[in-house]
Amino acid sequence: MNHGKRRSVALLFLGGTLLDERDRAGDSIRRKSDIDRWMAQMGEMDMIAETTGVYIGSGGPATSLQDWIEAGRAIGALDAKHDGFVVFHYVPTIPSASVALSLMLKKMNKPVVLVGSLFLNRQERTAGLANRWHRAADAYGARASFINALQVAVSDVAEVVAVFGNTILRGATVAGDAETGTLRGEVLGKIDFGVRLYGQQVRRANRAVQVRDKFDTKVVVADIAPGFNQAALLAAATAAHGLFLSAPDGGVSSALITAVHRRVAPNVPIVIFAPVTDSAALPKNVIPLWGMSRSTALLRLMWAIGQTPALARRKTLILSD
Amino acid sequence: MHLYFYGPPTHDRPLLDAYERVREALSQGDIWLSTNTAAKEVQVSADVMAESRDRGVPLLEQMDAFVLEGTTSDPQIGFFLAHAIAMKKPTLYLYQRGTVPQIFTHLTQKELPSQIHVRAYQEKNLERTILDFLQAVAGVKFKPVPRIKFTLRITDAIEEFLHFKTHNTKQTKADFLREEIERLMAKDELWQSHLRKRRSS
Repeated sequence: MNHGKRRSVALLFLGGTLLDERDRAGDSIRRKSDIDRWMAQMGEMDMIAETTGVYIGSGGPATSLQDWIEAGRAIGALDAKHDGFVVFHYVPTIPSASVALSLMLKKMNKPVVLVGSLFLNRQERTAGLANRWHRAADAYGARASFINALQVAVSDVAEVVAVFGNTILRGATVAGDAETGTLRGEVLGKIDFGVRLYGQQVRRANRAVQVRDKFDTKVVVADIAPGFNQAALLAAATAAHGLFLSAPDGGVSSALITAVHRRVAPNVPIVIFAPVTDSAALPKNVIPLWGMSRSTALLRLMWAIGQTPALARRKTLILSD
Repeated sequence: MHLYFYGPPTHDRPLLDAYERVREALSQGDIWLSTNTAAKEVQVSADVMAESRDRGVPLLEQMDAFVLEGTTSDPQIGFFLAHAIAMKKPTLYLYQRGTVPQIFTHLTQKELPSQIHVRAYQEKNLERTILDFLQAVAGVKFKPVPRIKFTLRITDAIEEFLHFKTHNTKQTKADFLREEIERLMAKDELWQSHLRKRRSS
């Protein structure tokens, strides 16, 4: 830990900034002009680091892949100027955001920390949302979570992580549990009387981060369930750059796999998001993927086909941790 | 009262002696002292550990007050100060007389929240400084943090009343209701009698 030099952290705003459920002026950042007033309310962050606010988008449930790409690019552009990053984000979609950033940011050299407020804003309350995520708001509060995230952003861990309350989760493994209103994943550490890291992490290094932000979204996504429209799937498959066949309640029949396989080029990956018992019998471009969230699997596919046209390399990228 | 004392790691003998005297001063009275200066692992009370383990309440949040030795520059001090300010916890920031405290590189005296007490000390007045802080803090009512979620459906009329009472104030509707209930509890003779019987048994 550096005891002398004061660190500089860029705060990237993509929603998730609500400080108080009364949602008064200055309690959240919805547009770039809100940043100064919000940061004045969070002046205690100055105790930990020099902070610079960067507006990415208003965030919320409509946060998209393009927003995460913008965040990744901003991190690449600001890498030389700051010692860490905090990405404020709508909590229910932090799992997808942290997976997307984990895929994009290579040769990590400093912390990228995702965090979000658990308070409901006025529109959400008016709409009658009583989402379980906000159960945890009583325990953690927004300010304490933000301070914890900033403390992790000045620590020596050099990975994409999410801070939920006082728990630090490895970004590539974060999943959401809407039932309990929590984020879970591989626990990298805790913040109690300081940041305590467990096990192995990538540590700070003197190198430049690489941003590989190409995702190919020309993917056909189909949920295979009784009554699904096979003809429509096969018609769409011919133009697809990738296929994502999801069957959480059962399997995908070998007849369907064969029919789809015949429609696509040999380097087009077909991801089967379902338990598969005999993967050895599958064609080379059919890739069973299980044991992760659906959005994680889909993001891996889109990112892999954006990186390379070669099937073998695509497969490696989809399957590697 | 649960109190956390943080002293930056050091090999400086006079500073280590100061840490010892701080611990001695804080060991008086009804204080459960947690500190990083005595052992490698910070010790907390069984109650605090149970709250953390069973209900996920962070350890730091359960501390009622902080004492920070800020003579040397240390990034952890900033972290504790930030939490103290955010959680509005009484905090004593100590620094050796003749040095420039780190805290004033980020805040002027005017900007300091009232619950942050910044005091220069020498060996001869250290204990007095700490005792003065404890007396000041002893006068502060420690409100227990509400932790139990309770869903209550209300009528339009009640909602309108709550909005009327709290609109343009610093108080939330939930805070208003909690205070009204606490007022009822204080006035309820049967309840107070029940508490007295429980305390004496």
